[in-house]
Amino acid sequence: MKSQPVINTQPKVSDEVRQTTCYMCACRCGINVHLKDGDIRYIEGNRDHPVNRGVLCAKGSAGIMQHNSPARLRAPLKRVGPRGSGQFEEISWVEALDTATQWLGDIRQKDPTKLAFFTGRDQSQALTGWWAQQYGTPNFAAHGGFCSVNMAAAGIYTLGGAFWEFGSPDWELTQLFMMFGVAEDHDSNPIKMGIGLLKDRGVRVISVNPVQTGYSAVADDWVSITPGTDGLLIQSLIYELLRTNQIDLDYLIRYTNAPWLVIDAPGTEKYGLFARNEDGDPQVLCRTTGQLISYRSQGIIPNLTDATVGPDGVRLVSVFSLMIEAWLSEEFAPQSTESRTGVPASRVKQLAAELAQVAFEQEIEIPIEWTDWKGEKQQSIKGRPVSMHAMRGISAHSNGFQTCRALHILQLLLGSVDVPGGFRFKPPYPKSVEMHPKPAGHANTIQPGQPLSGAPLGYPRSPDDLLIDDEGRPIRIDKAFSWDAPLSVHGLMHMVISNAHAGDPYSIDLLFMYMANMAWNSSMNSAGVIEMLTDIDPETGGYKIPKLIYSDAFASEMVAYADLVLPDTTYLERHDCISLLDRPICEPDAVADAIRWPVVELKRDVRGFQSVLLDLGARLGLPGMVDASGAPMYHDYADYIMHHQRKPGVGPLAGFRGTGNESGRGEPNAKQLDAYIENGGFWMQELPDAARYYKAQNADYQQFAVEMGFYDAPAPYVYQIYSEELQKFRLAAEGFGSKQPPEHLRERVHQSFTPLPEWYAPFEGAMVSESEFPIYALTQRPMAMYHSWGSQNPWLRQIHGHNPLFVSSEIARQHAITDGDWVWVRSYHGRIKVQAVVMHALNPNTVWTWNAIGKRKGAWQLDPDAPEATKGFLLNHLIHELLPERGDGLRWANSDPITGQAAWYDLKVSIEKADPDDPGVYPVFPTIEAPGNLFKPPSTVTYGVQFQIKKGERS
Amino acid sequence: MTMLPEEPSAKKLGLVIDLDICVGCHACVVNCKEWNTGSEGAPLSDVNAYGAQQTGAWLNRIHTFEVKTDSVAQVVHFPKSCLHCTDAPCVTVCPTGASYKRVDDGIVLVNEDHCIGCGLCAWACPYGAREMDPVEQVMKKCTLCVDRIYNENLPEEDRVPACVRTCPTGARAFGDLGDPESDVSQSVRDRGGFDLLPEQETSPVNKYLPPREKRHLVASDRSQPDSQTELQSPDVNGFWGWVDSTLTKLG
Amino acid sequence: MRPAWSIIVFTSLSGLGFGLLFWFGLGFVVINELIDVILFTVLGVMAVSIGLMSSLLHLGHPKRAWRALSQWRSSWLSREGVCAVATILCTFIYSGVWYIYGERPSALGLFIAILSLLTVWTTAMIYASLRTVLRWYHPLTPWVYLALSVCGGLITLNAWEQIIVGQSSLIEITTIGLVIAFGVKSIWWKRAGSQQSESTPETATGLGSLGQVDLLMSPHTEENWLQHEMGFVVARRHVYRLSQIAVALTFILPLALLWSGISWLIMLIPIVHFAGILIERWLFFAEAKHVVTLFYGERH
Ligand SMILES: Nc1nc2c(c(=O)[nH]1)N[C@H]1C(S)=C(S)[C@@H](COP(=O)(O)OP(=O)(O)OC[C@H]3O[C@@H](n4cnc5c(=O)[nH]c(N)nc54)[C@H](O)[C@@H]3O)O[C@H]1N2
Ligand SMILES: Nc1nc2c(c(=O)[nH]1)N[C@H]1C(S)=C(S)[C@@H](COP(=O)(O)OP(=O)(O)OC[C@H]3O[C@@H](n4cnc5c(=O)[nH]c(N)nc54)[C@H](O)[C@@H]3O)O[C@H]1N2
Ligand code: SF4
Ligand code: SF4
Ligand code: SF4
Ligand code: SF4
Ligand code: SF4
Ligand SMILES: [Mo]
Repeated sequence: MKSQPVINTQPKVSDEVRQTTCYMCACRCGINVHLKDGDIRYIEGNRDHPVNRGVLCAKGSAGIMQHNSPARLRAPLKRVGPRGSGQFEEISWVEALDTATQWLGDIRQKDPTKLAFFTGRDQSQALTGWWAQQYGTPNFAAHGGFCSVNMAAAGIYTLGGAFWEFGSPDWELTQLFMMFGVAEDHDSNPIKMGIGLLKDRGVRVISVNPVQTGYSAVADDWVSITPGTDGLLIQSLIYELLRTNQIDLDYLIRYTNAPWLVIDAPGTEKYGLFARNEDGDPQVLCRTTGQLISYRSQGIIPNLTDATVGPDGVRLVSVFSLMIEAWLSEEFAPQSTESRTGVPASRVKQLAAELAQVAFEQEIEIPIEWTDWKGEKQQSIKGRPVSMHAMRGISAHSNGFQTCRALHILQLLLGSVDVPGGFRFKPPYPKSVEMHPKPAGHANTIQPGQPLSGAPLGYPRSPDDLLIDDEGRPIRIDKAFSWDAPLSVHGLMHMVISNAHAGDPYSIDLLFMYMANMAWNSSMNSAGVIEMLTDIDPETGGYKIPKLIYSDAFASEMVAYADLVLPDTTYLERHDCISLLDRPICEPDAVADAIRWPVVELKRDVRGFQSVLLDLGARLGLPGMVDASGAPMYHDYADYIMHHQRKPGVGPLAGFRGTGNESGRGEPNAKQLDAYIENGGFWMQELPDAARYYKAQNADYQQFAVEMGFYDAPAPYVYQIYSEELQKFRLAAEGFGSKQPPEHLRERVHQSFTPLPEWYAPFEGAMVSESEFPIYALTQRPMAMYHSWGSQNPWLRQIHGHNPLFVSSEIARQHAITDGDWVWVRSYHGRIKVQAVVMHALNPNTVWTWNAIGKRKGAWQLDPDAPEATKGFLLNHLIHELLPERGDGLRWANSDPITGQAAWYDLKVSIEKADPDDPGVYPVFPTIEAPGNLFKPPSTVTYGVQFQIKKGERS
Repeated sequence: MTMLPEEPSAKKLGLVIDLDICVGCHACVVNCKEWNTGSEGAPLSDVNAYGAQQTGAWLNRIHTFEVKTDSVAQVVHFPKSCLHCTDAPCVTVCPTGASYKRVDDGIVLVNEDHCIGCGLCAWACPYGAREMDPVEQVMKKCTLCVDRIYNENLPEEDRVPACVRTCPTGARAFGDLGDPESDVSQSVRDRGGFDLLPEQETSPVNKYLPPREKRHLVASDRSQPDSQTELQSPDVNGFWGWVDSTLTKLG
Repeated sequence: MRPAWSIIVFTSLSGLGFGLLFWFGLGFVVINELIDVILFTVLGVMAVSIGLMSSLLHLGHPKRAWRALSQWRSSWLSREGVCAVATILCTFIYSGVWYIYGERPSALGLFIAILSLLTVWTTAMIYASLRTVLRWYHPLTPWVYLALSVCGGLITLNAWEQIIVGQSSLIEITTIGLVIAFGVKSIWWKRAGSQQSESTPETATGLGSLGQVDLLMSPHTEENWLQHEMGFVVARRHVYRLSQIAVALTFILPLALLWSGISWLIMLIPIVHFAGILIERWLFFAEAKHVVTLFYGERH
């Protein structure tokens, strides 16, 4: 045998490694970018990074292709053809900025509400929100409203934080992990790492999901639930835990408002509010003395069972007794809910039994001394190793807010919030709702040329905090914080275009958008939105939405509808900060933040949007963006990141402040970004041992939080099982207070704002005929694709080039559907024709598809005959932003009535086999022209060929 | 060289893939492509990259199967790359000697400078582990990241295949399956690791670990609590009794 | 398997060529003048070479094809190359000696005949040795190739005699050849085609103990090289129709023409037969299923 070839097992991988943060999705993993001869040789996960600890997902690994995408915008563009035609002329930045400044300046001087500034999947909301505030418009929000605000808001109002960036399961110690409606989540890599760890440890994983893919496929138990009924299932679990006396009473007493007394005086304006003492402290009934006493008092055991009478003679009952009354009712017995949830009673009982077994028989005790918020020393930290996680499967329904709240209450009953083995908060969370600002922008506070009094987004705590005028009309263009959606803490991005188009509540002059593909996948009723964007106002002859500035990095569907396009950099070309002021990357045991920095040379005439925004701010003379002389305060975003201070000593980045050694608080440091780069692109500091758990009630943690600058004084609190905030809105619906819901919403507010979560059927399902539209239609995130922007990536689009409709085997049988058949899918609003694939591991009444794979012809520099456009499709065409007309002629938003969360997963459809002789997707839209100055897409890609030294030798 | 080594190497480097953990995220697939497209060999090229019928050369792929079990159907994500077979038919069919199995560690490689692109080795491989590069027209296959695992330019902990390093769930393990004491061999023993298509008699080195039995809920005694604590029907009075006695204990 | 024209032409034409060289080596070829030796050599070697050239078209790197001669110890493709080259070289010597000395070197001829058969055998074994394609992996496969090659040679010799001497002396033996070839092929069709594959999606995934395994999602939504190359599917009814045509053209029509009594028709037989062989070869590939398709949702 001849000797074998000698191969080079020792190639030098790269000339240099630069560490930054991925942005192929919002997970914010740390990456090592290997560079060779100036090109990206390889991107891998950063092993030291708290988020991903070295791993990298499919999207992140395809970063090279995104960075080289021919769909990258190259220079500012001015529209020259009609909107949507895609006809643009390249212009200079001087012209672009002049134009934008003029448009923005005129409006600011006239009426700042005529600007709607909506920033999509924005990772710099601390800046963009502040910019809107300084500009003076209340019309600001990012994508949270159509994404997952139910989850976020329910979390804050109940616990002071929700899942994802607010907290995570204790992967190391948990013994039972239960997941509701999660396909992928933002915490993309950490969840996978966590599940891997649990599997290694042999920990049981339960997934509640109508579809069995991804995480549900590896779960030990897959609970196939009827969409929209998780709230019922959870309440059945609560019923079971109560019935079998398996709840953590001690935990409830110490850390929740279960013992608080509620005024039981129906028909009065105090009904359902807490019985407070003179200091405003809620009170409990002392078991030994029988006296009312502040819940803050040390060493008391409250009486949970007995009603009492307050000084003013009203009857007082504990929250706990209200809970029992609500949930220990036959209505929630597993056998009563099984027909709706599709989860058999026996399984509900077993699930409850399991939760209890693990929580109460596998109690953890860590011998760490800590001091609770009342100052009582505790010898150890107790934990109940049951952890939960949930996402849009429960959130994206019109009953999502209350479902999410119910889930948190289930966690609390098990005593498993922020404890070892349970669900744990990530600093700077938890933060009670009281510590969050209220929304700014009340009627009389908005002045031309003046900043807003506070941040546009916030957390209302009573009807007084709503942004409505004296007639009760919404002040914001998206009707956020109005009676339509009182707790819409993230705004309602999905309503902006349709409201602006309808002039309801008013029309606007300029829509300024960043990073949201609203003409396509992030809108409900995409075709309708396209029409609204191009609709002409007969009175003015101009567009109904007169001006539209848009910033994108790529030639997305939305670009075609802009009048002025501000081209952004890609994530490897710009500075960014992932700030504690915004959406941090902390871990339960560590505070952390991170940056992006230009790791590759920028070779196009594009600019980082945040720098452009600061530039515009300076041109407009916005306070904080110009100095006393009117000169710009920051020459770019990097400068701002290092030097901006929110309050003295606290800025966008918490690490390496002052001389470079200070954390949290400290003077600005001109070498801060260098220090981050030196440190691998992030900063992290561990929590002291005693501060790791029970953070909301832990004096050690509170101390730490103050030192770090999360807040200025300790702010401990207990979790709110019973929400007085909600009850206040309910009282308004009952006719109390100066701000009351308009008649057409009164009943809805009353029904939905229950202080203890109640389940109601999702709106769309309740309004359309069950026999006509018997099927639930869902989307799921594909792990290897990110919304619309992954399809320009030649690697990722080989994995998901088009999307089938997965049809349950039951539906397939009923309609004689086999793999590859074309089917018509109809909702009350529209119809689409798509290709079906039969699936067995699927809820019998459900169909689903991958989200955002379908593309508009001509977008993203794809050939018009690319499968994304010829076979791929969006479910969005079936979903309307408004519900069907009601008896009163009014149409409600297809949203959660509390938060305004878009109810994507309420969709009900019917299905029918299409004529096999007429295949092809429906609808198909006209091809949009790509801006003329884009790179030509090559037909073949041979990336890496440039690294071959001895290329000539091969042939 | 096209002959298999006379004695199978003592060292059998390979992967063990845990079907119980793989969530089908394709991270290993894309990271593999990314690492190997910039390696010494020809890039893993893509054709119709932005058009219809887009395709390209990849060394690792994830299939998703649905298994109709006695109870509910089960979805299994199924990664597949070269199994570095001990009796690799792809090697012996190669007319040029471009395909070979390394004597030292059993890795099956293609010498691209000698490959004529006849495709026969891909026909011989039962697993679909070889793909022709559409531009360079040479045969591409998993190299077990031979340019990583021994590479002293990489930190020691990174001397594992790209797919293994990147897999977020840890469903892929790399090691010496010729060494019965190695971690990978042990997990194969403990978990009942198996071969794909054993009847093809290729003796794959890579092994697969089966999905663990779905542990259906053990009927817990807690779902039938003893009569003292259980409330036969939601009996609020009984419940309050329990609360009272528990509170007494707390106090 | 995808029926690539280059490979179909390769196996059919080189099969025919080696069939000719087989008879040539055995001295069965009628020669009027010595130049006919050269003529026939050109005919045989041309068929073989065009076939081989065509197979080169299939290669990504034809310039490196010479490397394919190196691995005769294990690779049937390499053995085929070596045998083919040896046969051609020997044929040149054989006809050179014959032409120059006017005498056929019969020992060398016998050797060429054996080499020709060996070459055809090796060609067939390229396919017959692939366990991954059950239909090919059958002991009869090389016999089919041999029979068709020898038979094709005979048919062509008939035409050659018709042209050179105006009549054919080989009608009976050709008939026997055709009947045998038809027989072998028929048995192959029946036997090779009805083998039950041990390999199933269940064995491919190792998940059979859990239940029936079906593909839910392919790793890529558009067809990849593997599917293009090995996932070729041909409609049942096409197979049926085409195999009827193949049998008619390869065997039945040649027999009929052979016995038609119209002598000039004999010159057409090779064309008809060869057309049949092309279809037979097309089906040989198109009908064959590769085990890899089990990973793509097929069940064999
Ligand atoms: N049917 C259905 N529809 C849905 C959902 C669903 O579940 N089902 N989910 C909804 C949810 S939760 C969300 S969050 C939305 C998401 O939908 P979108 O917010 O529209 O998200 P993307 O498709 O990611 O598009 C964002 C835009 O940002 C651009 N972009 C990418 N990188 C950069 C950059 O660096 N700079 C700039 N300036 N722009 C950039 C992209 O090119 C793209 O045009 O979709 C919603 N739509
Ligand atoms: N790879 C990748 N990662 C992403 C994104 C992406 O596009 N690609 N998008 C990011 C964004 S913007 C978001 S918002 C997150 C979303 O992250 P997820 O919430 O995990 O994503 P969805 O795909 O919306 O998943 C919803 C899941 O809920 C299930 N479901 C639907 N209705 C119900 C129900 O009524 N009950 C229960 N129990 N389950 C239900 C669906 O089957 C699906 O599995 O992902 C983020 N991460
Ligand atoms: S999950 Fe993937 S795409 Fe998202 S940031 Fe992390 S590596 Fe990048
Ligand atoms: S990276 Fe890991 S979990 Fe993801 S598909 Fe590959 S093996 Fe499976
Ligand atoms: S898996 Fe295929 S390519 Fe890899 S060694 Fe085995 S037969 Fe060869
Ligand atoms: S394609 Fe290359 S490696 Fe494969 S058998 Fe042919 S020459 Fe050998
Ligand atoms: S070992 Fe290397 S080449 Fe093989 S599949 Fe993994 S990453 Fe790809
Ligand atoms: Mo989202």
